[in-house]
Amino acid sequence: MQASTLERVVPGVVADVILDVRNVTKHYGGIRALDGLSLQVVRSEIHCVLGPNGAGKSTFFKMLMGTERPTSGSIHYDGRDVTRLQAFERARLGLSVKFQNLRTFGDLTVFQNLFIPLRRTCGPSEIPDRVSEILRQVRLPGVENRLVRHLSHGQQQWLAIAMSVASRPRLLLLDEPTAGLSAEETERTAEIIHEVNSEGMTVVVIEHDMGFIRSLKARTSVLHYGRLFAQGSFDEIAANEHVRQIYLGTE
Amino acid sequence: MDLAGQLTSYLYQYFDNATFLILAALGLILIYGMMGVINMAHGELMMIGAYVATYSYHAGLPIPLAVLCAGIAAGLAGIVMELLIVRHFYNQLLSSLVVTWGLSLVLSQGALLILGPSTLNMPTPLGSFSVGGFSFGVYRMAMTVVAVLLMAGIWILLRWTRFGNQAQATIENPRMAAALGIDTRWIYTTTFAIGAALGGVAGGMLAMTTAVSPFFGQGYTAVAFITVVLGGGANALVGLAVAAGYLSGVQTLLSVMVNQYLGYVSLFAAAFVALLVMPSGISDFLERRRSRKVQR
Amino acid sequence: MEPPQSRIIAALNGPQTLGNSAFFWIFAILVLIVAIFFPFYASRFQVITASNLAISSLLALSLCLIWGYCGILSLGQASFYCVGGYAFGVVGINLIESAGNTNLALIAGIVAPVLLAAVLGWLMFYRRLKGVYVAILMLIVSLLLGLFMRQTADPSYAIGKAALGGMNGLRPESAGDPGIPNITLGFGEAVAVFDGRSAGFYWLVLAILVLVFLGLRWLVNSTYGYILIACREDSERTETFGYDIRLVQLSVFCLSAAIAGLAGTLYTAWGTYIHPDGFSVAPNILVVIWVAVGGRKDLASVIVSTVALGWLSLELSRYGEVSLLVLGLILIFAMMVARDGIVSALGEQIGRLVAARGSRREIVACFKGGRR
Repeated sequence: MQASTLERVVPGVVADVILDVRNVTKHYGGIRALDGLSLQVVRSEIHCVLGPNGAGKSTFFKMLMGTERPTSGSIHYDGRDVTRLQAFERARLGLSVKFQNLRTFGDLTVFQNLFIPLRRTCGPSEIPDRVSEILRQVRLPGVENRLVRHLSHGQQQWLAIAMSVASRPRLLLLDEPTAGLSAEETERTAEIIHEVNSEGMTVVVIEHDMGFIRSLKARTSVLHYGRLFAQGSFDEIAANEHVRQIYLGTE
Repeated sequence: MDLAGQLTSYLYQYFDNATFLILAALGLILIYGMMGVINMAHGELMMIGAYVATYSYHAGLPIPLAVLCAGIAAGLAGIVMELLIVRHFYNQLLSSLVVTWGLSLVLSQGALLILGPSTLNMPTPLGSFSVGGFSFGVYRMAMTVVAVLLMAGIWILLRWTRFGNQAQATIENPRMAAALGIDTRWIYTTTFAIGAALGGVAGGMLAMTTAVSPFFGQGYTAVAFITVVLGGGANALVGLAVAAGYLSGVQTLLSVMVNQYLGYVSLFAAAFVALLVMPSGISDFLERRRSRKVQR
Repeated sequence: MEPPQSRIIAALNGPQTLGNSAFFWIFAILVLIVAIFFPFYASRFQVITASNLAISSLLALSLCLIWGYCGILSLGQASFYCVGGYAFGVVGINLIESAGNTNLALIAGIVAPVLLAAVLGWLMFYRRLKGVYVAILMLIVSLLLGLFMRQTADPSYAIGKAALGGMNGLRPESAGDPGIPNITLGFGEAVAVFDGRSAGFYWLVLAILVLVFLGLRWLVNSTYGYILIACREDSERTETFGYDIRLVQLSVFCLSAAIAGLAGTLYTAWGTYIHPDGFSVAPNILVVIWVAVGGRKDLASVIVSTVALGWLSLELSRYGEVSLLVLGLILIFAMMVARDGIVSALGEQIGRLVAARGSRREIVACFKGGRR
């Protein structure tokens, strides 16, 4: 059974699956946000998820992180069924998320914002050093004492990424990390993602920006009406006529 | 004292309790459901209605007109409250809770200062009939009918009128609604006024069954709120009806079996238990059950 | 290595509280000195009143902790206060003669509300009930407890020598039994009795208030405090960082109940009196007014406003029953002009003035962590 799921991921190669989503369905009232979605993510890869608005991408992340429960189906992380685990239990297993609408603590300082995720893994005396290290990594040095709501939108994006990276997760979920960023900022975001990926983090990215996805050179899954519509390398996806019709055609 | 009389008496009590819950909750549900404001001063709006109805009745107005006056007075009070204070607290649940609680304190204490602590009374109209040795007031049955009519009225208002459509659009997406040319400020004020007026009507009608005092409303807000919350937001009116039916069922059962006090306590206990089982309310719960069935 | 006293000060200061400058601490110590010497120049009645205000401040701090720092509003905070008071009274009446002290009664006055909070909190937070529901359910719990206590006039509602007494308030069951005791600390013969009308009681309450205030300042500026604030700002996001927010909320709720219970215990000993009206709407709304008007996000502001409003209520009571009306108007006014509290807003202004005049070092100390 296990081997056959792996077969499906990369035909012929036995890959190491870190995330295995099986037939997940989510209803909101009468609306089906997810409708039998199955998807695997391989350890240490960058995996892009795209799809038109309302395809269920953000719902998918909520199911993964456990802030909401699927109506049916199961989610396996690192060989373990996590479907019924609370969000904090999943975080302790090494999952971390950046939500689409940032969800930084706007009335607190950058330092305080980073304190929360960092404190789970290191002692209070190490935190100032770790904060400046992480801020350097996301190209935001020296903003420790600024109030978050006084930062620019791009800076808040990177802070949100920094907060989700801070706990050194094994599986990082990024929901639209480049929303509202300039071309130059987008490029830097791609660099940041490649950096954390090279440290061994598996990264799943929800994105709209085609140029950005191309620059990630990642395996790509397309969601449509809450199902997996197509999967492959970015070039394969970009060349897929059906995908063009539902999504790229709108560009 | 025969069985038929006994059963009629239980049924009568049951509908009486349910009517009470629905009347108290109707105005609140509109304001909470549409504007995300829990109006802790709702009981005080009912108090205003009760006073106005009592005074206008004693001034010689017929009862239906007295109740109408109660609704108008409470509605006007609601407009003033909305314009001066509540409008600054939309969609801030906790802050609106605190500020309207302050309002309720000011209104009840103000009434105490102006009107004094003594209670007023109004006779219960419409007389009574008897079944098997038990006597039943016709007026309380009329209240049940009015409560059902009011619910139907709100349903029609929201579903079938221009105002209802605009209001629905405003809850869904206030910005979009404003962009489409809907005067959302007017919608909010009007909704609040209607909610307040419903409270006034309820207070006016209840004034004929209990004594009216400045603290008339204090007991109602908590009961009304628990009914609204238990009803849930997915289909608020159906939720309200089911919640009122359930709560009054428990209350009637324990009042009959033990005493009035335990009946009242059991109402809250039942609500507490139900909320723990269905944290987002009955109507959401029913909705989810239905969607699960559809899937199978 | 830093000298120990500066480490203690550092632990008490932080972004979660206003007043981290030397100016603030010097001012606080001056106020404390004035308060300590109060019984030497004030009338007996004023001292008794001051004891009551200090007890109210404790109660206000308990709500400030959960509402201001963790975002849990309870509209029924007085229920913990009264449950603590009743527990102290019941255990005290039963044990004062045999034990000769109120040590156990004092513990009961704290443990009973904590148990209540633990059960309610477990039900509410582990079911992830929304904040507004928690707020209103707590009010309902308080009203129901009040309703229960009102109908306990029947002698069958007695716990040992203590009769719950319904609307007469807690009292001994028979005339021969002792009444609600004074706080009596110590063992055997070596006991200290604190009569509620004495200066000794005032100093005891003042000492407890100072200790609780300093303890809370340390707590909210510690790691735990950071997590509380994160829960207040966005509890779901905090959970996704790996914190069990249910446990955080439950624990802070229990701690708050303990402080409220302690306050209720002191109140009962102060007046040797506890009554079902303590569970009604008025006391519950009073606590909310003290905290909201002062500034729920700062401990010191809450104490200032509680003392000020408590004093105002007393002054107003001369003019008939207007005090609740005026306090209600003050609450509405405060919510309109300074959502985070009037005293806090003033405190921030003073902090800015002091910082502008003071040295750069002080500016850094004042604004580290980013209070505007």
